[in-house]
Amino acid sequence: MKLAIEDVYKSFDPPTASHRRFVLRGVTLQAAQGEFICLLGHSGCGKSTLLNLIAGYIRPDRGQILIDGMRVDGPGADRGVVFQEYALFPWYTVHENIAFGPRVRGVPAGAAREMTQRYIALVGLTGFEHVYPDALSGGMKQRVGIARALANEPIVLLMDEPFGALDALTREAMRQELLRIWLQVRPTVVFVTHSIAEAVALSDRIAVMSLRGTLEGIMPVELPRPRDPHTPQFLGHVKMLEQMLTLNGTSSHARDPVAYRGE
Amino acid sequence: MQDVAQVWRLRRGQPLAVDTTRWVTIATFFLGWQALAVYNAAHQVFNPVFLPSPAMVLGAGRDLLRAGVLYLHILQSAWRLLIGFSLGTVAAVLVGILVGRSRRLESIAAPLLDLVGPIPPFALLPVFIIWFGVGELPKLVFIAYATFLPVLAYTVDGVKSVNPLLIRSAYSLGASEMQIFRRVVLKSALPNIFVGMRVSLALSFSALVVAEMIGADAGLGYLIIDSRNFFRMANMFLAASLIGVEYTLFSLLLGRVEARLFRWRKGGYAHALER
Repeated sequence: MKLAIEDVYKSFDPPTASHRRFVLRGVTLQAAQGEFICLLGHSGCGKSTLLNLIAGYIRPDRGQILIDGMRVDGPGADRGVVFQEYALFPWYTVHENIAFGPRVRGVPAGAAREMTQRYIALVGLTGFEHVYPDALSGGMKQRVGIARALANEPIVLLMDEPFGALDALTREAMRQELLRIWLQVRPTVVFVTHSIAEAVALSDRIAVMSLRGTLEGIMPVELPRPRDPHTPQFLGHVKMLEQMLTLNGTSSHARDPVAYRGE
Repeated sequence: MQDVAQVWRLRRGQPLAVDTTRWVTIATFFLGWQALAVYNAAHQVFNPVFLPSPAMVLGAGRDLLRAGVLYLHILQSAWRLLIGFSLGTVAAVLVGILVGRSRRLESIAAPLLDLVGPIPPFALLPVFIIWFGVGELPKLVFIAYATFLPVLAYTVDGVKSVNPLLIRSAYSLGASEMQIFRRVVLKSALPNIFVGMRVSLALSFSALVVAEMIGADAGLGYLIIDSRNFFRMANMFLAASLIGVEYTLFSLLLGRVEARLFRWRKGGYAHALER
């Protein structure tokens, strides 16, 4: 297993608090080499918290997370992260942003340039090497974000609602792009989303999270890619997931009525 | 020089067409001054010694240049400012980064700054002279001190407002503490630091003049005091104008460095609408 999450608990209340509310309770999940896993759930279900735990930005109260058998203890280059807000360095050009990882890890300038150029071509940004992020559209910014994370050749690629800030058309195009890139590079991916259609379109397996902070279930999606969202099989998956989420989310309807509907 | 001036005007969101108005205004100012001085010299509305004409100021400059002392004063002042300003800025940036990174250090530093901050640096010049003697050191320390506090405040602010997501992504890309400091925190705080430097530049020029007026034997501030002792009004105007020129040059230099460093920065009023 490339990624193993073992009985993880997380609370943001101090350990001394009399009644601690847990965002995650006993989550266990594994991902095999090259697998594409989506974490699907209502907002507030702890899916981003789980991603931040894997990234090492926060620490579990109980349980552990293993990458290639090594316990996660803080952030590291073996787990690439793509953020919804892109988080590109505005003072660096596209090329410099993507070269950041190889450079700080001590890859010599020549080799780093070659790697960077390869990933720029992979995400389709050739010709934009010397542009600053400010001048790019949202979709192009996220292409830089993906290339920057991949340029480090991480064991696991973590994506936190990466297309959440994009318009519907760009979002659809970026999904296709991500699938193309994933099929070419084949990293293990953990992808957080609240869009059912997005999860069905992308994943090998979908981990559905409940508002109690537990795993509601894991649904494998064994449809050939590219997946046409109008086929009965696709819609069948969507319906099943909708039921899982509605049953589990009845209490939260008032709070966030659109979160589970996808687009 | 032209492009720097253009950058400035663009930044203030003004169209370039003001150029002619600008030069007409400046020329009118000097012609008016000259006319007033000449008229006054003929009709003695007030004692003409009080207001020399621009031509007399230029003449005074020519005389000092021939005597070979004008360069000395100009260079002495420029050198003092450069050293004092650089010392103050470097110290403030180093301290500011330390303070901005640690909440505990900030809680210690903040009350100290509130205590010392409200005291105008000029009130402390005699203290500096007693501590550091009458040589070059107290002047440099004094200019550095005047520079220090504003740059410090802006640096702390800049370091504290670094986007935490950028720090997270740098960690996840494998950067070390030192690399994050250099490539993320410092880069992100730099625009703020430059605002602080701009504020401080005016203050350190004031500090320069005051320091040179007290116990110096060269420099433009000294030239003003020395001219007062001999009642050479034209020399006083000359020295004051040269201080203005030096300030303008330093300010343009700073603007030029900024324009180069912050090419990645877009924004402000001038970019809101295409005109």
